[in-house]
Amino acid sequence: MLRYLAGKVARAAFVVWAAYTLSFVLLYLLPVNAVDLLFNPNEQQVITPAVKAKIADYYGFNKPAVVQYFDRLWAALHGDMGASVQSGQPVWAEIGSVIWPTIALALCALLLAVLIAFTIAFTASYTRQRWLANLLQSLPPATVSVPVFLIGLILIQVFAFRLGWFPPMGTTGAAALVLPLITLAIPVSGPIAQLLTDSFLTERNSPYVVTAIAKGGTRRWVLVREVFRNASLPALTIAGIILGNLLAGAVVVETIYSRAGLGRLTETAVGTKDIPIIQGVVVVTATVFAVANLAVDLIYPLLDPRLKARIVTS
Amino acid sequence: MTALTEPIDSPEAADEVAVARPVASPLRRALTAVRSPTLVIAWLIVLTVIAWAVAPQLFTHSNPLVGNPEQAFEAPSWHHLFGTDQLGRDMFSRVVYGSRNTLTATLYAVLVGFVAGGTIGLLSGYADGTTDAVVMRFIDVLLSVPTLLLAMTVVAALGYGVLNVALAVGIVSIASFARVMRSQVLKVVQSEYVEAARGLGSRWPRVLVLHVLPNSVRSVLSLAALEFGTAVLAVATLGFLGYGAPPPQPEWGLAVSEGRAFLDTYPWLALIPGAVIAVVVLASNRISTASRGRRR
Repeated sequence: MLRYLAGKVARAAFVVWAAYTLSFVLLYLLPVNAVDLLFNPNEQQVITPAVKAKIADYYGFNKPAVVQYFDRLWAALHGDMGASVQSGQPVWAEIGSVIWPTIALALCALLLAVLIAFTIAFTASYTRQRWLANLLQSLPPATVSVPVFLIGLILIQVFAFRLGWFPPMGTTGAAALVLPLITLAIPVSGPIAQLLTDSFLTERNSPYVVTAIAKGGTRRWVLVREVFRNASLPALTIAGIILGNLLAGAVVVETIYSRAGLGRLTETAVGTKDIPIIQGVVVVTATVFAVANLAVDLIYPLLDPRLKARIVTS
Repeated sequence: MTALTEPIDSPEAADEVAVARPVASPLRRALTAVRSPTLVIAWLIVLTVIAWAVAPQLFTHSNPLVGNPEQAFEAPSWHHLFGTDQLGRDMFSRVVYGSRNTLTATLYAVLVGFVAGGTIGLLSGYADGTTDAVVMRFIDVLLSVPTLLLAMTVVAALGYGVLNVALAVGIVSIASFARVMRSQVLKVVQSEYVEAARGLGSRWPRVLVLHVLPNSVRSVLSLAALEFGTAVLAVATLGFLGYGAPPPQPEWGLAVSEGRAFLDTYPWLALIPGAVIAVVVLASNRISTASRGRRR
């Protein structure tokens, strides 16, 4: 049991370290002149070579790549990811100031997405109408084919400009959250609904369901009491994909609705070549991903007794 | 084979079954395709946009870059199928010419992922256990950063432009290509013909190229079909965010972002190019699911 735990924790730590290393190689070693990237492109002309040399010295660009890497890694381990090129604020302060709206948006969207996914999966396996089941099963692949920005623009056009029910942009108030929430939930619900529908359909044909029906369980009772539990567990395994969709969606959604948040910070950081911020965002997302997967690995055995038995005996 | 369960009521049909049984002939494939009208439509859509990209001048006479300011903001009509934008440029011709930028980037992206990912997967699957494990751990890390964020990171390092966007999307897809290739190689390496080739004294590069590669590349090819839709979406999203082609150029994602400013008054400027992207991605995903279904 302890070995299982240690292995999983080590794996999570490895993911974060490797994401840091990957982003370091991409952002600090790959560009021809990393010093230039550390300045606001518009102020490039006014910066004297002396200042550039000072910055190059601070970041250690004149040292060998390996030394640079370990210096930066050592600083990062002590919480120093560098400072934003645009604002001069430390990376963590900059990220910390915008991460909460994104987390709130992502959590609400996730809830809505799960709700949509369950409705689709449940109805598709409950209905006796062939056409309805077919229609519902074709929905999940469709939601991931439509660009998030198109969904967002259609919702703005219809519900903000035509009907005037919700504000088209902004961060303040609950009404401003509705459209971004739906925009983000639609693509996120796709993979979950896909997995749930498949898993509902396989579980429905398993022997224990036949037994339950033979014992006189009604269609709905069997679906809710027996199939539901066993079919929803596998959804936890795609937690990583879901998180990725949430973040990628947040970049587009926050850009479209002009909301403050991690996604918009990333979008502007790439636009202004704010290298330290981009690296900070990469490390934060990899950490969230690693922790989420770790949590799933730890919770899963508790929910699935078969797995628990295997871990304890091994 | 569904044909065997159906009653055979004409000699032609019987012939067709007899011919088609051993290998799926092109005729038979075409016949199965006709049975699914959505698949035919999907192929038509994909072939149309590819034709747009190859020879845009055949489909539109309007110049995508120069407009007539007197005809600005015209609604879609027979004369301007997708309407005109703020400079009076014909949106249909901008979408047709834009397919060149978008689809070229997509093609390069899939190629980069296919070649780089396939090579990594091939070597990793054929290498000894430790090397394989180490390589695969790093591939897993590529998967732990959301694809859009990884692509944006690459764009930040390389700079803007259609080719850099293509490269970014390609690098992002390396991980999934490598994994599929590797799992296939692991299966093929077990087979008797590989053992026989080794037994005959072939050196490992020869075995790898002559025996393992041809027998494991098929599943990766079908992944490439699936990645096509994903790559169109990724390229368009990066274009929408403004990292792709610079503004006067026509590009699908960029067109949506340019039309966004006029969403309230002239909604077609953003929504039509957006719908084109969605339709193309839907169509290519339909084709890739069909090809996966046939292999089974």
